[in-house]
Amino acid sequence: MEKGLLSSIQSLLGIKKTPKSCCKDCLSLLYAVLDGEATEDEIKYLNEHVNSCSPCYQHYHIEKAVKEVIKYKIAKKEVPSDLINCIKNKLNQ
Amino acid sequence: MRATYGKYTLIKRFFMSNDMYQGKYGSKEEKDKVYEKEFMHLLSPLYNFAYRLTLDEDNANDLVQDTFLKAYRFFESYEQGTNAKAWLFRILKNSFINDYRKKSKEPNKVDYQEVEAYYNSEDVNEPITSDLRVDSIRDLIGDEVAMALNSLDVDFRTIIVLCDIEGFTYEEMAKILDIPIGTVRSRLHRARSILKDKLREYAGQMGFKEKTNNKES
Repeated sequence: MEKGLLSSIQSLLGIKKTPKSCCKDCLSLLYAVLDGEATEDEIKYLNEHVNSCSPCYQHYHIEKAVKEVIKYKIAKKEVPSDLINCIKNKLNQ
Repeated sequence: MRATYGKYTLIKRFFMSNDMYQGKYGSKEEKDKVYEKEFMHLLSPLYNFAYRLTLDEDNANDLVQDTFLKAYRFFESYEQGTNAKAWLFRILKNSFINDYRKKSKEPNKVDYQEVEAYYNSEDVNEPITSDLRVDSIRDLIGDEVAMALNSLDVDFRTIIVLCDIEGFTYEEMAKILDIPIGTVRSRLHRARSILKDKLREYAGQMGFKEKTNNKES
């Protein structure tokens, strides 16, 4: 709530919020965690960090949402019904 | 992943007809059985990958057929029970580069290697995308997400598909794409950054639409 209020006030006053990356390696670590490539220690560190760092918290959830919409929202193309037979015929030629 | 056979063996296998079969599976029937068991269930992810590369149903169809034929020809070099999906994806990606990309009219929009060099040399310190909100990302419809993805340069599109849709590990992607893991990471960074820009455009349009609709009602 507080964050939302703060940004509303900032936008009313015309202050453009330009949060800076708080640490250089956060993005790489964030991707490593989201992509399942991080160690347990790295996951633990990021979780703790994200909860205490507002820009990283925001960034983490944006990256997570992007990854999710890519995975779940893009419709799968249906395989043409004759493709499997086409392949089998060619293999037996 | 890579065939460890000599050139001669590969060439011989390539041209050997089916009834002359004398490979490691004993009979052609056995070979076909194992082949079908290992590979055929991967038809759908392969077709979808082919479609995301070519963005054309007919070309995707041809590319998948080529892939399965090549996989059959080189089946002896495949170790049964290992990573069949990564093996087939690598064959498909190579076929795409050799056969389709040259023919394709799609211009290379980004000299990604230059970009990669930049990203490898500098600390990645992107500004936070504060104007892109989680809710507006989640509100995007599938077609918008697909259009944003399709608008990426093919190399960026590929890495997003492999990572986010197919869930390959960085190591698997490095093998499929024949690039070092560091390049996998930097290409993913760049691809995601451009993808967010594209999604932001759609999210922005949607916000505008919503506002005008509200005004009308």
